[in-house]
Amino acid sequence: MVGYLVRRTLLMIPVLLGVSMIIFFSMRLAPGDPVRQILGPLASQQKVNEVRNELGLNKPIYIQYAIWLKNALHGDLGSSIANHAPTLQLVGERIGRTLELTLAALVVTLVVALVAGIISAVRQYSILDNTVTVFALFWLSMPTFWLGLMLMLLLAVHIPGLPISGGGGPLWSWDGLVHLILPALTLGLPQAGTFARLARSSMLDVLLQDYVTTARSKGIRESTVIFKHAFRNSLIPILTMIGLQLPWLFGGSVIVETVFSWPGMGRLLTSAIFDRDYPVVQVIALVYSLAVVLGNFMTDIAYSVADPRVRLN
Amino acid sequence: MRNLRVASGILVVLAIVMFGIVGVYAQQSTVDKSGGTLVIALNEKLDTLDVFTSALASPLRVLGMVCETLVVYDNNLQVQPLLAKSWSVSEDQLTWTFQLKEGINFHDGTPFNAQTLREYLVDYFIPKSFNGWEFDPVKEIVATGEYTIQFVLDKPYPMLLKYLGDPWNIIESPVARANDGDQYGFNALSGTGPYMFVSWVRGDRIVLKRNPDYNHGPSFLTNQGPGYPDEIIFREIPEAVTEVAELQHGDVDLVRTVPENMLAQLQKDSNVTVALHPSFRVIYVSCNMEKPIMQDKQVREAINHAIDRQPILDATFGGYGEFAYSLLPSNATGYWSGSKDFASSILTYDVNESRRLLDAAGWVLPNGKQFREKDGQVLKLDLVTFNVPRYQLPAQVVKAMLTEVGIDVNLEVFDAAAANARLEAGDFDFTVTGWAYNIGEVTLDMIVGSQSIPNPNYARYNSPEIDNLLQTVRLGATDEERSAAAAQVQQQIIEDQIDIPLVVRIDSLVAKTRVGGLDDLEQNPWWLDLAAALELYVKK
Repeated sequence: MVGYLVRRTLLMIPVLLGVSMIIFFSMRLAPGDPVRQILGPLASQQKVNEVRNELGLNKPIYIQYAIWLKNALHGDLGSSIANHAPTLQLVGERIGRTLELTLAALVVTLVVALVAGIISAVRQYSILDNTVTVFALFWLSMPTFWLGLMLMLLLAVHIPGLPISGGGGPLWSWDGLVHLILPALTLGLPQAGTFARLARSSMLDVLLQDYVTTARSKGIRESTVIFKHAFRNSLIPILTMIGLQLPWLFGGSVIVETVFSWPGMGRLLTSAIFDRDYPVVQVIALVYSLAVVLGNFMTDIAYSVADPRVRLN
Repeated sequence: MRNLRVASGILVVLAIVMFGIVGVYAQQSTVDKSGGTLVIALNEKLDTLDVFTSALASPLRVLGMVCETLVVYDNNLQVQPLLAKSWSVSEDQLTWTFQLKEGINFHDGTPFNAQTLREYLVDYFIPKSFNGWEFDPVKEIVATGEYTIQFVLDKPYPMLLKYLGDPWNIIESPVARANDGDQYGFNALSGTGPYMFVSWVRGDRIVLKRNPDYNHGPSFLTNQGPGYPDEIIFREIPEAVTEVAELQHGDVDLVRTVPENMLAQLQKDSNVTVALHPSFRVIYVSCNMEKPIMQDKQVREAINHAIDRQPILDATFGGYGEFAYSLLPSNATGYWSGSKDFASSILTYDVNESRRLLDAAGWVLPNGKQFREKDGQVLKLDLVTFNVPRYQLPAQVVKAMLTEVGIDVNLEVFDAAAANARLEAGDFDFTVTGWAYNIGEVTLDMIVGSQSIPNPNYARYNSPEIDNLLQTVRLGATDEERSAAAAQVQQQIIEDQIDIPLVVRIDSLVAKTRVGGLDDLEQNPWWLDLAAALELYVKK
């Protein structure tokens, strides 16, 4: 197990290095001058040249990358061109809010999906199953942007005390929790559709296994058969999906943060891309890549927890 | 007699009660304005509150309440004292002397006087601000007394006073700038304004609190200070639908510049008040004069006559806004009041005239073809613009209209950085773009002055005649001389049809009915943020 963890951790290095190179070069190949963008049209050409020189943007791209990498290895990930603040400070201020939103959305996804999936599987082809299927497809095909606005207009406008937008207080406060409701629903519900379909089919597979029939024939209560014997074994594909979908949720927060004015990292990324704020885009892209790698990593570990027969080494 | 005395007594009592009631109400109406929290939505991106490093207009919403300028434009766009008490200029016009108001402190406790003002201007503002160039003719700044400061010039420069009232040219505490270093503009701000910076949770909100000592507001405002709300909170809400939902059903009290397509709905809502006035933003077509086709004035005139401005207003701006007859909006300084009379006969929609001009220029429509040709070359123009609705939608309408007269328009839409790169490189035939600035003289310099080629003078407008006139606009000895030069520039622009004005956008201020003081704020043609800070209050 320890050897596995060390190996996987070491594997992250080339992945992150590769991502950093791709982002670095592709951003600089995109048309647009970050300095002119940030300084605006009133700035003189002389001022633009000075700032460009100051930021090292006149050097060849590969030299710029080498300098960035050297600084990054020393813990200096540069300063935002647009905000003139260290990128780590900017990202650090916001990453917590994005994580809050992502995890809350994951809770929404799992609660809705597992309940719907199990009901669907246990009552296969019933009205309930068909209803769940229709709703799952409905959430799946809903654009996040539109869903967010609809939830806002249908719920927040009519339920007193439910905030329409904003970050609110810290997560552990009532204000923080209620502000999280709509963004988490918007981000989590479309994923719940996917997960509900998966949970249904996985549960159906397990329910048809011989050991489930044996358990039933022994006269064990149906709820025990479902929750104790079948449910845990049906989790493996769902865990795989969580590993794959967690980064998606993380990335999907970009749109939700804009709709709900959520002060997270996604909005910072959007404006950084439009401003050609290379250092900020670079760091956020690395954070997202890390999320993908860690998501897969955690999935592997979760396998062994869900099914002790799985050995990581 | 007794009855008369009783009646008189009753009348006296009634009068006392009436006066009492009136007095109580009068007192309440004053007292009631104070207190509460005013929440204002910011729908534009906010990068920093450091005026030296942000090129965006959004920080000004906040800075205009925290910091002040030496002078300020009144409701008639005349310059009035703000931090300066009075001023005079020497006979040779080379020395401007300003008497400063006394007893004012910056929010960090630093006294505002000639010495701190000089330090701020010399050490920070002039070398670091984008607007530092506005002070190029200033040779020296001297504190000649505790509250007297002189600007010594190397040539007469009457625009100095106007520039000192430019909302970008705010005065901040030099001590706070030095002490707070990189954190200034993020976690610290220090001005002399009616509200003090408290905190900024980036991406979420900025909190300001009332400056209880503020009492030097300009005389043309109803309230000279302090401001009424205890707190003003700016909430960053980038999405327009969210912002309007917050205004109608949430905790936002006031929204500035709502998208035009939402205004009609808001005007029907009895819970909000909508104020409208022309914005500073003029949308115009800019023809690239480095392209041989666009150098032909007949082609440019044909483009002008092919464009019907009404559908642009209707389709893009929901019918709000007005036709533009100059590159300056009517509420900018330097606007030529004769613009409309002069331009309305030139900026006309006349498809037949457009077709005639193209024929005359040699661009004829071959039988059975959709687009005009000349010497075998199809009349195909690259229209490059920005991917924001205010430019993209008019560009789409213009493309359709030019197709009607046989011009093949290749519309390319990019984000701001990429569009600017294309426009700066000159890789386009024409663009639909815009400009918004309240100091009209600066706008003219920027859009048609040859020194601003290629950005924002995308057209490569390079006219020695206009450059000379702009020189007079900047340095002319009298107001009359400068105004006349500005008028001539605007007239020449219309005649040349290199930059063709289309429409002026509307600006809107939408507030919950619980917000008072809007009437006073509306008196100001710029809706000054200082006026908002001093006049707006939350009704109880």
